[in-house]
Amino acid sequence: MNQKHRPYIVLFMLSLLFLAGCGKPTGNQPTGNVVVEKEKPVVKIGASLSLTGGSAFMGEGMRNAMELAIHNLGPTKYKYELVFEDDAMNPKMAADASQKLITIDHVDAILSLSSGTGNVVSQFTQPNKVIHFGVASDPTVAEGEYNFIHWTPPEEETRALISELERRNLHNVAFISFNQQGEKAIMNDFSHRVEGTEISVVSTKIFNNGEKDFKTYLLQIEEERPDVIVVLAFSPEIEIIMKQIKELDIDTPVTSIEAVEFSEQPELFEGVWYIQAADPTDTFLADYVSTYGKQPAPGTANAYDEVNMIVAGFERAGKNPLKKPSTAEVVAELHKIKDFPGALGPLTVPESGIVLSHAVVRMVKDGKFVTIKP
Amino acid sequence: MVMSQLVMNSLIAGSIYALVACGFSLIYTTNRFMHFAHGTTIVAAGYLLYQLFQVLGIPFFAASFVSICLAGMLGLSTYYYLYLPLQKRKASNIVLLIASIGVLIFIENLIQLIFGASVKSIGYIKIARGMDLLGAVITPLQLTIILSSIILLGVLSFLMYKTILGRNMRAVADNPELSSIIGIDHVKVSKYSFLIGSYLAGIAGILIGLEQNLEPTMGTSLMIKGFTGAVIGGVGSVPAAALGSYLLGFAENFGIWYLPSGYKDAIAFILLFLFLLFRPSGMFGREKGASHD
Repeated sequence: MNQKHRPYIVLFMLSLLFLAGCGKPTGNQPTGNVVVEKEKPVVKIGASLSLTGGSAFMGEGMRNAMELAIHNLGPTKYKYELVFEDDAMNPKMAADASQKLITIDHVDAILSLSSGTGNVVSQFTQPNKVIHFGVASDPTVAEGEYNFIHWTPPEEETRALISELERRNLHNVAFISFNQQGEKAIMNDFSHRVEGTEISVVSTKIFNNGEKDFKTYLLQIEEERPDVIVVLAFSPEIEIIMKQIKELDIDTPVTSIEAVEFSEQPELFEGVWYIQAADPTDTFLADYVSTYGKQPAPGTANAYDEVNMIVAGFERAGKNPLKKPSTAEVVAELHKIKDFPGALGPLTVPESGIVLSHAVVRMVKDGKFVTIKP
Repeated sequence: MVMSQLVMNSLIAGSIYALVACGFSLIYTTNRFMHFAHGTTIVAAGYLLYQLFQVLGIPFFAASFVSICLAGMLGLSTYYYLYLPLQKRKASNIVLLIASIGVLIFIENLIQLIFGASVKSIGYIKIARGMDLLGAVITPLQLTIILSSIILLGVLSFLMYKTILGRNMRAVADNPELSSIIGIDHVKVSKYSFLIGSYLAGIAGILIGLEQNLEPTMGTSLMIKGFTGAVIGGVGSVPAAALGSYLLGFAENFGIWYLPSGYKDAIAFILLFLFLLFRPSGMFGREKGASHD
């Protein structure tokens, strides 16, 4: 490299750093690590989230919600800090993230997103007595007393899906699904529940992360003549699937679970009915939208509730403001939570550790998301 | 009807891989190292088009032209400011490969920093039913991708075998020292290879971005498929790399017709593994030490 070019390179790098610093939205934003007062014991809440990759919109939403929850805390006995690690919804990265959060950051609790990463995180949190809340469909994420789930479980989603299929007289079902444990849990539960009914699964196509070409999968599905195609995928795959369905002139009705409202191209879903997790409260929605200028993604309200439940657990378990309680004591308090006022409505933590949220049926009508069956 | 559609799907997939493989192979043929950052040049071109056309409202073809030119500049800058200094310090090809991976990671993250992680759509083409062609359904864009791939392959072949620049590129590829002795400026030839290869990446970025939408990390998966296609065909030859890409497209689509759907990526990697193990020069590549035509 010539000497005369070096100043330009340095200037370019500094510009990039400046750009990165200016890249965040302005306005009334909570900061990343909120410290209440210097002298109080610190409770660290970590998160292993997909901050990069195709699901980054969900990870970013959860991070925003966690920061918002800390920002909205009133006076507390302890001070609460957040530590974020990126796992790109990759189990191997989640293992590295969990390791770092526990052994280096010494977190007291971890939040995770997805069944694949949640199952990995739970393997670290249980033996290390770290509280773990997962946004996950696979119930095995909640195995162990320190592990919890706050998400609409697959049983609830498939119950709503089957009910709507019966109402619409759609019996032959084809699945095209992302290769993830959550989606597999949904398909397994669906297959189990429709045994002995008129509904049957005529085709199942599984694709891996990063797939962009679904034309041959769709061709195979059409050969089985399904009454409906259930697409279990998020952005960007769901948009590509819908686009290729239209291009191939496939007129079989399409439905989905959770993904429609978070698509970057909602016009692709006009007239489509789908299953969605329960609506966040108006209060949370207004607070989130005014802070971040956009609608919350899937899992966002769940993350907000998870932080608040963890804080409630520490505050209730802690008898001495100069010493934070053990995580075992906090877990005992978490299991006592009943009708906790959450962003997704009143929350109860059952013995299983799976906090239940209900599913609703919605439809895209004139570009708007309309609940047709609560 | 089904078989026609399957063949058409294979051609479309193969053409996308060929668009990636052609530029990559051109750069490799001349410079003899793997420029993995070629994938991010493709992605950068797509995002530049998005910014110019979708955000700033510049007419599509003008925005495309500018995006292709800037992609060329990006590739040329990568060579001039990264690879050339390393080559002057006698860096091995492994070092250059690692540097290219570094550039790939850097640019992907830079794109994510600027544009965010969510998927971007270039809204130039209205999504509609494709047209019937030879018993299959294909959209005008997909037909454009197939034709572009074939035309670019023809243009590249003409460039490599019928022009002085192409002759110089092949000379540098065969023996850089000897080519310098006879007066060929191998730095200049390398610059041209990066420029032209990156222009091809720009064209690929625009077509693939229109077909598949944009996300910051799509370059990596495109490079894997393009690289696999190039290895199958013969990474040292542009036409061979393109043919290998088409073979990969057919193998994947026909493979998942008969195998469980989750094996699609496995098909590509198994083919890559087999060719690297048993025929690293590829189906149409020359074995090392073979004589010239």
